Amino acid sequence: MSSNETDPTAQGETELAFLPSELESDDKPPDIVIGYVSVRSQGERSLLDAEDLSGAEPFYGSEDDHAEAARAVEGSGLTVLGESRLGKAVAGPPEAFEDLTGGTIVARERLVRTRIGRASYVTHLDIVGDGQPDDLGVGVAASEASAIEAVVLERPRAPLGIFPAPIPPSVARFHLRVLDDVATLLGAQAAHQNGDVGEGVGVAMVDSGHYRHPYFAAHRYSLGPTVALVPGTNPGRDPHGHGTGESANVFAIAPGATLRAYRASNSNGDLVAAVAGFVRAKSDNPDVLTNSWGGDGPFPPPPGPPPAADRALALEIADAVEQGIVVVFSGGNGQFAIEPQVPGVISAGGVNATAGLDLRASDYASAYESPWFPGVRVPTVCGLVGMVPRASYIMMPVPPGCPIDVQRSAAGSGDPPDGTAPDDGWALFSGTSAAAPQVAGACALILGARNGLSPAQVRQALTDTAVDVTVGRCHQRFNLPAGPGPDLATGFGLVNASAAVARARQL
Amino acid sequence: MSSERPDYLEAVVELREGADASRVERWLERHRLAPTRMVVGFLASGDASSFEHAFGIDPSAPSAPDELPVRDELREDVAKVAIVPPKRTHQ
Repeated sequence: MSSNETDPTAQGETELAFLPSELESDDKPPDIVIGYVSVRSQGERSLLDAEDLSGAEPFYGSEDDHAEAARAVEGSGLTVLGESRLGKAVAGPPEAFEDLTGGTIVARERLVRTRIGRASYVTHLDIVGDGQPDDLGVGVAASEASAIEAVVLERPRAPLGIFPAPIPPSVARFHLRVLDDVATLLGAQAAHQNGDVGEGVGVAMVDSGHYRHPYFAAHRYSLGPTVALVPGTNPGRDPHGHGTGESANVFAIAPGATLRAYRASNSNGDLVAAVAGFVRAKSDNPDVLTNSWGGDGPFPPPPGPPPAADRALALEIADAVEQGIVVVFSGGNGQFAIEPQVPGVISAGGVNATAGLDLRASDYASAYESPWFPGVRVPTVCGLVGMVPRASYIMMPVPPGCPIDVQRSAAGSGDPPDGTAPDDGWALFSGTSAAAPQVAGACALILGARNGLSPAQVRQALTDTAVDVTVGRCHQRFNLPAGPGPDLATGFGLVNASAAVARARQL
Repeated sequence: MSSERPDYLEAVVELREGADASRVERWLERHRLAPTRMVVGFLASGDASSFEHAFGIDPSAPSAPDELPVRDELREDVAKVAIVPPKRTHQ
């Protein structure tokens, strides 16, 4: 069942009254439909037209009718999941229900209250056709002899009480809160106090998807409709949790920006349509296009140009920059990839702020000089990233029970549990995946203050004002030290968003 | 996330100079591969089975090459068909 939430600002009773209660649906029925068949009542009335429902006994079916109903159900290809004196819970393909009823199974979108006071159009199934009742999801058997007086399709039920809290849990481990701490350490708060919040700036993010965690609604962040790239995947789902969590970094820096997510993952959360996501996002012409993903290859690479598929993607990325889109890519967590090396891209590396606010290069983040593009160094600038073994650093909202929620709540790779529950919708993680949307948020602040700046000017505003980081080393695969001034390990240093906005006003 | 090639894949279809792009686009669509325009030609997206049907090789197999053989009917227009290597998030 899919759920397409309406605008969260349009949830008042008056507004809801203007929304149609039912819409046609483009969804196909699922492969397996759950339903219920009511066996012919021994009383006078069928449950479909009975007015007195104070007792169940008049609706019990006889043994013979139960047996006949079972034959009809199984003959249609349905499986009995459970039974009572009244009827049977059944499951099977839509065609089996159509065989049983002689009707057609169709999808309809009905406006229902779902959770925390929100209303959504939720896909319901109906049985339509000659002789079928008007009631949504209700049908009658095709054959009088089947001893079945009603077929009722399962309705989507709003789960109660499993929604994650919009406020992150308190855990004992040192960590950054995605809103206050990230904004403070990246120098965004002064800009916010001046009214620079990235208002009107569109940020596109290609990732695993976006789950409408209550955190986003609580902060009234602006989210455009998600685009799902893989056919058959739900734009309202994030099966991995990565895109949901990392996107919070954009809003920490640019709370007024509008984020549009491009889901490039399949149902397992594998990023199988990343290039399609990038090309599609580019065609929608966002102001900023942020990407917390990439490939990996040998370093140094074999002599010669990059592989063919990488060359094609590099041209697409360069084309986006030439269109005037500010493109941000994460530099990688030990990976060596084409994406952050493309000239004009702002590549995001990692700086770690300790509990004592000392800054050092993150040993989790990649850093290298491009062997393919002369003069290009990865990273350009840095965001906030944790340290090895698994960069558990920033508390971010994720879909409850998603792989990140589960994995991070348990020990792994020599790192203790993050202190959250496996199904609470919060997890500690980071990587240069967090740095990229932080940097993208800073770009959105800049463009909100100085609309029309070129990607090169946005980049200059960031590099001119970044905070120099002089200690620490990058990921051991590249093992480069930070030092005074621009260096390979941290590029120009940690982004200072407010200073970058001020610098942009001078350009 | 799994480390093997998934069932749904992307491939870059690099066109030759002067190629008939619409002919290639139709060919891809006929083979149930979704074409998206790229600077170098098309990005073809689809299930591994569609790729296998189109190019005769299952690109999701561990032993599959990075480049797929160009079918005879495409030779005039297509220089190369390269599978996009796996992309992963940087958490």
